[in-house]
Amino acid sequence: MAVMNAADREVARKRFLEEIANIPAGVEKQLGITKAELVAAVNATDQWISDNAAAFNLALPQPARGALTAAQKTKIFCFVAWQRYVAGV
Amino acid sequence: MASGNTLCVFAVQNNEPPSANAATLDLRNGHPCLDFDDTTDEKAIFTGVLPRHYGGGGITAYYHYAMTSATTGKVRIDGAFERIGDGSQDIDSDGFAAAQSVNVAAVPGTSGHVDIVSTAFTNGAQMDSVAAGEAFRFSVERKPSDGTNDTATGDMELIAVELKET
Repeated sequence: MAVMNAADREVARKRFLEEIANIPAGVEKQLGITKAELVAAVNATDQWISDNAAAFNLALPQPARGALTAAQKTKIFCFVAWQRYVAGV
Repeated sequence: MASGNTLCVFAVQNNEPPSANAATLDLRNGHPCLDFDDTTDEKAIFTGVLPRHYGGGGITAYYHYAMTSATTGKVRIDGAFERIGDGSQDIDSDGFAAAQSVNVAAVPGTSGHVDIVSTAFTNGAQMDSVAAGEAFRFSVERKPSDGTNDTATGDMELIAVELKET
C-alpha cells in the first residue's frame, strides 16, 4: 500500500489540529511539539499504516476479508480507532 | 502626554480583513480572537487616527496573543504602518512601510495563556511618517513562512493590539 502525498498528509495534520482546537480545555488541548515534529509524527503514522496494511488485512476474519472493499476496511480501522479514543481504551 | 502612554487599542472586531490570506475571526471560550495559520502567512489590518497628544517619540506595538494548542516553539509577528493622512495616500492602493518583526522565542507553556510581546517603530519612516491627527492603517501578520523564527504548530490567536508611545 502506498503512502499519501505531502498535500494529503497536510490535510490530515490540519484536521488533527482542528480536532485539538475544538477541545474546550485541559491536557488534551496542549501540544508540546513543534510544527515540524507534528509533521514527522503524521508522516510516521502514514508510513506505519502503509507498512502494516497487509497484516491488518490478514487479521480480518473471513468473510469480511474477502467481501469488504479496501475502502470499507479502511473505515472499519478508522472507526474502531476513533471509538477506542472516545471510550478511553 | 508622552512616552509610555497608550495611543490606540485595537480589538479583533476592528479587523478589516485583506482580500487574500486574512486572519479569521473565532471565539475561544467567548473571547473573540483572530486565528493566524501555521502554514500560510495571514494578516489583519486595523484603521486608527493617531491621537493629537502623540509627541513624536515613536510607537511600540504590543501584541496580545495565545496559541490554540501549541505549548512549545516560536512565532514571528510582523507589524507595519500605512499613512493615510491628508492627501498622503491614494487609498485605491496599499502603501505600507517596511514591517518590523518580533521573534517570540518561546510561546507560553499553556496554550490558553495570553502572552504580550512588543516591537518598536521609530518616528518617521518606520511609521510611514504618520503624524498626530492623521488616519493610518496598522497591519499584523504572522510569518510561518520564516521557518527559522516561526515553528509553533497550530493557530496563533490574536486577542488585542495596543499602540503605545515609546
